[in-house]
Amino acid sequence: MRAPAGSGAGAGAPKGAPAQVPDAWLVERVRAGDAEAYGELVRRHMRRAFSIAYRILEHREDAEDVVQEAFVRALERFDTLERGRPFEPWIYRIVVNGALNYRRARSIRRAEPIPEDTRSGDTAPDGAAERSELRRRLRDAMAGLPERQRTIVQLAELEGFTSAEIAEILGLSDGTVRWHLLQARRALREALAPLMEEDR
Amino acid sequence: MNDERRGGRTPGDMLTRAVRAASPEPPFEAVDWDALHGRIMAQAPGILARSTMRRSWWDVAAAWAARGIPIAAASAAAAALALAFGGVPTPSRLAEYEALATLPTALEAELAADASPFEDDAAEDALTWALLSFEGEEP
Repeated sequence: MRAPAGSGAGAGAPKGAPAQVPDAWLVERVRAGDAEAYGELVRRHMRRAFSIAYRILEHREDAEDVVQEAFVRALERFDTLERGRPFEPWIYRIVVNGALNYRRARSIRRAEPIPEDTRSGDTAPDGAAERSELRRRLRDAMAGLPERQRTIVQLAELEGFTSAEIAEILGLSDGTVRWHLLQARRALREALAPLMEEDR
Repeated sequence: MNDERRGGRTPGDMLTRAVRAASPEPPFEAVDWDALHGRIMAQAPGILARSTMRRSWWDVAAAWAARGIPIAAASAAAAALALAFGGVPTPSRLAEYEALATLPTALEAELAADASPFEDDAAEDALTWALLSFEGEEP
């Protein structure tokens, strides 16, 4: 991770590489009006934020827009980040909410786009038909999940968040997240069951 | 993120692998990270300046509130005391109330005594006599 050019993340930073400065310290610097400290927070978390937004939107430019808007919005509402609360789940929550809102608005404007990476997948040779069928079924099953469950699956299976982390991001209880995850995995397994039987 | 953190699921979990395989990987290499960072940070100074101004205004208001709240509390307490104890009847006030309360009765008695339209008995007698001794023509 790179530190902002020539910053050291602000005056009075703890000794050591800027990357070692904890988020909490940067957050306090931002509260004091330090733009460079916010720049460092953005640098640390924008890739993961983009990844989360992309999982939900499956469109690079839309995901970039959401990330940009989320970080700007977070800075505008920085005083709502409670003291002692970590920055990371807070910004991811803003990203997830922003992406979900964006997707809802987009689905009103136009039909759901074909994900960039899967557009050419169906034409791939060498036994790709089976993978393609698997993908299609899974994608259909994912699309059929309630929005909350789909988001939880994406955060858990694709982003690797724990149920506790997802609970923090989505503002739910850990138990609720686990329950949704269980339901979603059950639905996905059912969708894949015919293919698994064919394999036997 | 290790597998222990992923709720005890095994790395070979077929469903996890299938979901990953079916989902497009984010195109990290296609993103111009410096440009994205720059677009975000271009707005930061203005936002931070506004929030600092808002904080300063709030600090001033909070300082005034620190003085104003005790003054307001003292005023409210004084008003409450005045309302609570201002209505207690003192002996002189009681006398005034009683004078007011008895006034209609005294007036009524006086009016009853003066029921006659004549100022004195002589006038009334004179009228009576005049009526009795009337000898004028009948209409």
